[in-house]
Amino acid sequence: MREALAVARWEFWQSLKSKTFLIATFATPLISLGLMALVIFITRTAVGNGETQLAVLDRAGVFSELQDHLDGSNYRVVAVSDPEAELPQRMQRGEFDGYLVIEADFFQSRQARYVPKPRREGLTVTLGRLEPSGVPRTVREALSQILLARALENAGIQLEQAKILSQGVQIVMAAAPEAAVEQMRAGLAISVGFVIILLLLFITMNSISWILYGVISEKRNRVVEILLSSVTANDLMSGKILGLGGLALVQAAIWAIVGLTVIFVGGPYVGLPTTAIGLAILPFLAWEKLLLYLVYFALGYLLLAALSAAISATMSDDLQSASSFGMSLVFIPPILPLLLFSLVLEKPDHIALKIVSFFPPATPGMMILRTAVGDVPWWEVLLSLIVLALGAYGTMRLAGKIFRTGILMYGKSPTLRELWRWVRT
Amino acid sequence: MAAQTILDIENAHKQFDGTKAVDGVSFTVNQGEIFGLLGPNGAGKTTLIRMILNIFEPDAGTIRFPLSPDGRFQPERIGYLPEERGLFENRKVSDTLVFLAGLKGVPAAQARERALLWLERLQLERYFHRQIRELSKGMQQKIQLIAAIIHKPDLVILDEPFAGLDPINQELFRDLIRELKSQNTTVLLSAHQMHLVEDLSDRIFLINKGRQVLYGELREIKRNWKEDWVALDFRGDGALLKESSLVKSAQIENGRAQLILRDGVRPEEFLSAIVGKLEIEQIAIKKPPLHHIFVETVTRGPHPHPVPLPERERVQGEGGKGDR
Repeated sequence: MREALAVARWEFWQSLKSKTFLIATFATPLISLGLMALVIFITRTAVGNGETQLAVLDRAGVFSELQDHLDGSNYRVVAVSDPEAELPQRMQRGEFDGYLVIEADFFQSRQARYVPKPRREGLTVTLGRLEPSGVPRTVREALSQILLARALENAGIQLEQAKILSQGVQIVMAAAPEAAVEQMRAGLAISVGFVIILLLLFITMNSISWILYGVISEKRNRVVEILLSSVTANDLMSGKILGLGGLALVQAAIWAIVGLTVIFVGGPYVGLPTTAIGLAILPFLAWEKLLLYLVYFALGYLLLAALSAAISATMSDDLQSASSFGMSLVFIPPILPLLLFSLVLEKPDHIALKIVSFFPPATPGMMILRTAVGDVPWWEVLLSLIVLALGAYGTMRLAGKIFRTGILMYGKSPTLRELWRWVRT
Repeated sequence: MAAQTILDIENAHKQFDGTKAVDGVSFTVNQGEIFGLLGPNGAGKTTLIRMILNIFEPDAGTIRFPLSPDGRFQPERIGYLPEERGLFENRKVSDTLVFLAGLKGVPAAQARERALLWLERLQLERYFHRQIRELSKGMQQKIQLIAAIIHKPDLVILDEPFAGLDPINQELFRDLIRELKSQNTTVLLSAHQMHLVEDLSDRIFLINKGRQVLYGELREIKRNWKEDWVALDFRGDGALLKESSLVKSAQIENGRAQLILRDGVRPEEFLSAIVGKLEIEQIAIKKPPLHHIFVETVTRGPHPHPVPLPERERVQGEGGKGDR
């Protein structure tokens, strides 16, 4: 155990100090953040200030009324005059984004013509303006209200009264507080579960790729020969798993801190009240489940890491072997829950999902997701933990045997039959 | 005072996929001696060493360390320089040595101190904070040797320590090995440079095809070797040397002869046969060098009059020995 911890410390600190790690940890997120900022910047300039310039050719004398109605909306109206035939050209020149023709018989025909600026093919960025590109609803409503107010006035109702009536009914959104909280809690639980699974996958994959790289290079440059004269193969393997797992945790933590800082500090700059949102949802987090998730995570990581260590040890020096294929198989079970995500949302108790839950490599992801979505019977949780723990233990034992023999076998990859022999001894 | 046994291997067997890599090997290594473990490539030396280092378990037989508690393998009492060389390429010399010493139980501060001392001694101190990949092959080999002895082990296993070294560094390593012996460190030396092995070893074990072919004190082995070598400078007709029934083979050139006497022919017999027939300018009669003994034994099998061996170590039958 002392040796395993010494190996773990060595792997952890040496990798932490390495350039590769520093670049991956700091440069990668910075570059992605930069790219994101660039995309946002480009999008915002493309959309402009979010206002639509609307030209109005008013033959019915309602322009000032329309202007009042659209005050405070995303539409800015300008009055234009005949000839109508020139309007398309002016629009193409960019004077306005569309035009509205209100004929003199507006109050009888109850019609207005709207001509939007033809969009350039492929450029359909409508961020900040969740309106269909068809008839602008706000404009339509404004015109309807003008129409209605005029009709009411004609029917003998006072102007002020008519205007108020023409506003119609407004529905105020409100939900029963209890239900709202529940809904929020459920939604949050699902998102938290989802994020945790992603994190788990991310951390696991990172550290597995380090294990893979480390084992293969130590095998290639024969350092294993020296190491194995001091520590047992099992200690060497466990040390690597622990050390590099810890390293992946540190990397994830750094990214989480950077990410949260960006969200909370940067959010207000782009008009998102992230701090307020964060404080508001904090109480709804299912803290009690986090501990459970941690246990699933730790056991799941041990299982996958041991499996990868064993596979890496069987790889011949040049990476060109059947083992590379085996390596890609390692990732399928943990990804399974994500592939089945929609089914989990709909029917968390589906029999197929239950079966997958008890297949150890997929257990952590599937159980985290299922417990996040709904209530899972306690015995299922317990059983899955037991199955997973046994699976992790068995995998580590097995992996230890393969690792021990494979790590000293140079030049060729073992056949399945050979693997079987190693495992049996 | 009889030497204490530090390593006792008894009837060790190991096979891989039906191939017998080590097939019933027994020997003991005494504390404080330099023990030569010799054999051609693929003879089973590395497998044997890995069994000693507890990396492989023998299929049968025992490997014991009589001086350690319970006779068990204690990694921190043993140092190892493997034949397959390598170090962490992207790590610093200092970090690597401290880590490897740490695995052997040396506290970090002490390990740094010792590492620095050794590096100074081998004139590598300015590489202390450099990455290993910046070092030449020979330098890396020195670092590995330091790693093998930095924890002051009782037993050091050096597998091909001279391979790839220039003559100057070969001598440096030879002197270091002697120094280890003078500090009562036991050295198990496996090497192909027979002159160095001969120079250093107290006792040897020659293994071929997984089995013992020679074992014992080097001096004894040579003394009991069947043939004598004669180096002779003479005047007269050398033809009689070639024709002599006492001579197995002869190389004669410009009055200088290199002769191998027939097995069992005593030097006096040969001398009396030539006295008066040649004018002898200079003559030396000696046992052949270890190199010759190695080649002869491996290619032809043990000679017909094997050196006396302890009972249980006697090789039985002819199978598995030389093919010719």
